[in-house]
Amino acid sequence: MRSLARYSRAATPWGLTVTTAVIAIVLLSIVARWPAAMWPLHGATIGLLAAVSAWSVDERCSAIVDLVPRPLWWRTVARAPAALLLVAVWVAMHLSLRDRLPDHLGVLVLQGVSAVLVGFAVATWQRTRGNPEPGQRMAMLVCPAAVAIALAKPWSTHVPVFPIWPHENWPRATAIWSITGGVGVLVLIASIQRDAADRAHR
Amino acid sequence: MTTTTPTVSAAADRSSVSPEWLLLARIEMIRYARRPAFLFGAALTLAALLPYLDPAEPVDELSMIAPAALVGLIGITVSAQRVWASDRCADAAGSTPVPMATRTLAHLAASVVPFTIGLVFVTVSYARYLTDPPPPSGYAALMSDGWVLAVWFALGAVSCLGGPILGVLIARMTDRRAAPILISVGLVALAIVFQGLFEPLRRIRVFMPWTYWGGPFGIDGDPQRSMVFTGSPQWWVVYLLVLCAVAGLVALRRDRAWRSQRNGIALGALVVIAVVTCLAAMWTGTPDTVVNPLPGDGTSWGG
Repeated sequence: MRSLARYSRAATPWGLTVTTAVIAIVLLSIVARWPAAMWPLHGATIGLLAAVSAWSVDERCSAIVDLVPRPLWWRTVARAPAALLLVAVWVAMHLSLRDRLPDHLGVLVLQGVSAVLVGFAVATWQRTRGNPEPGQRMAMLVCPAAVAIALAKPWSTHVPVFPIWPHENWPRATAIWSITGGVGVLVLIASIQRDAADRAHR
Repeated sequence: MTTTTPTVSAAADRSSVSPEWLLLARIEMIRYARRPAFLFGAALTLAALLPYLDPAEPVDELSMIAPAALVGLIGITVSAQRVWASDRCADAAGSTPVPMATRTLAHLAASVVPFTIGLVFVTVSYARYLTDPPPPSGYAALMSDGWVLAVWFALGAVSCLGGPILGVLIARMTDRRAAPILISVGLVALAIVFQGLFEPLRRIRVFMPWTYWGGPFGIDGDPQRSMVFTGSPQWWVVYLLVLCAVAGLVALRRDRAWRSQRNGIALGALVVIAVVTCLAAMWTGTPDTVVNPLPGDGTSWGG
C-alpha cells in the first residue's frame, strides 16, 4: 500500500491536476452565475477534465516502468486518484450549484464523469501499446475539440453533445454520454486484460 | 580584409531569415494540413456549409462561429504542437543549418492552410448572402454589404489565421505543454465576456480578437430581438491583421540572433498601429447600438 501511494505521488502530475481542479471550480462558478451566456464554458470544462485525466496516465519513465513486475491494474489504481479528484470536483460543484443550472442534473454529472473516464481509459489503452505519453497528445486534440464543439454546437439538433435549453434533446444527450462512459469502462477493462495477457506470455 | 568579409556576411545571415524558409514553409503547410485535429475541425466547418445545398436555405448570419472555433481555436494547439515537434527534430539533429527564426517563419506561413478554410467558408456564405439575404429580422439586414463582408471576413477568416499564429507565439514563449490548452479555455472565457452580451463592455469589446458585431441579443419584452453593436468592423479587420503581424514578429524575435534594431522599431510601430486601429474600431463606424424594429424570430441563441 505504501509503495502504491509512493508511486502515485511521484508519477501523477499533481500540479496540473490540482490546477485543473481549481480552474474547473472557477469556470463552473462563472457558468452558474450566467448560465445562458457562459454555457460554452461548461463544455470547455468537460474537455479540460477529459484532457487532464488522459494526461495523468502519461509515464515519463515508461522504459523502466513497463518492465517492472507491477501490472497495469496496479499502476492504474495508483493513477486513479487524479481522475477521481477531477470527478469529485465536478460532482460536488454540480450538487452545490444545481439550483442555477439546467434542470437535468443527472445528465450534467454524467457528462463530466464519462469524459474523465473515457480520457483516462483511452490513454491507459494507449499505454498498453507502448506509447509512453499518449495523454499529452490526446489532450491537445480533446480539449480544443470540446471547446470548439461547445462554442459552435455543430448539428446540435441531431447530436446534442452539450445541451442547455429545455427544448433540446436531453434523452439523446443522456444516451450519447452513457455510451461514451460505457465505452470508457470497456476500454479500461480491455487494457488491463491485454496487459495481463502480455505478461502471461512473457 | 579577407577575414572580415565572411564575418560580416555571417552576421548579415544571422539577422535575416535564410532563403530555405519557402521550402520549409511548404513542408510545414503539408504537415499542418495532415494534422488530425485540423482535419477534424476543417471537416466539421465545411460540413456546416452543406445546408446551403438546399436552395431554399437562407444564409445563417451567426455561422461564423464555426470556422473560428473549429479551425481557429483548434489551430492554437495544432500550431504549438507543430513548433515543438520541429524543435525536437532540430535539437536531435544538433547544429542545424536552419536557424530558429526561419523555422518560426515557416510555421507562421503554415497558418495559410487554416486561413484558406476560413476564407472558403466566408466566400460561400457571402455568395449565399448576396443571392439569398438573411431574414429582415436579423442584424445583417440593417447594415450595408461592405459592413457584413468586413464582419464575416474578420470573424470567419481572420480568426483562422490568428489562432494558429497565436499557437506559434505560445510555443515560442513557453515549453509548458499545457499552455495552449489553458490559453484556449481562457481565451474562450474572455471572448464570451466581451462578446457584447454585457452592455457596459460593448464599446471596449473590440480589443478582443473575437467578438460579435450583432445578433439576437434581445431587448426588454423581446429576448430574441436583433441588434447591431457600435464600432467599425472595417477598422477592426485592420486591427486584427496588425495583431497577427505583432504576434508573428514577437515569435520571430524569440531567436536572439534574428533580433535587430530595425525589426525592433518595426515591432514598436506595429504596436502603435494596433492601438490606433483598435481605438478607431471602437470610436468610429456605428455610433450607437442599432435595434432592429422587427421582432426577433427566435432563430438562435438556443431559440
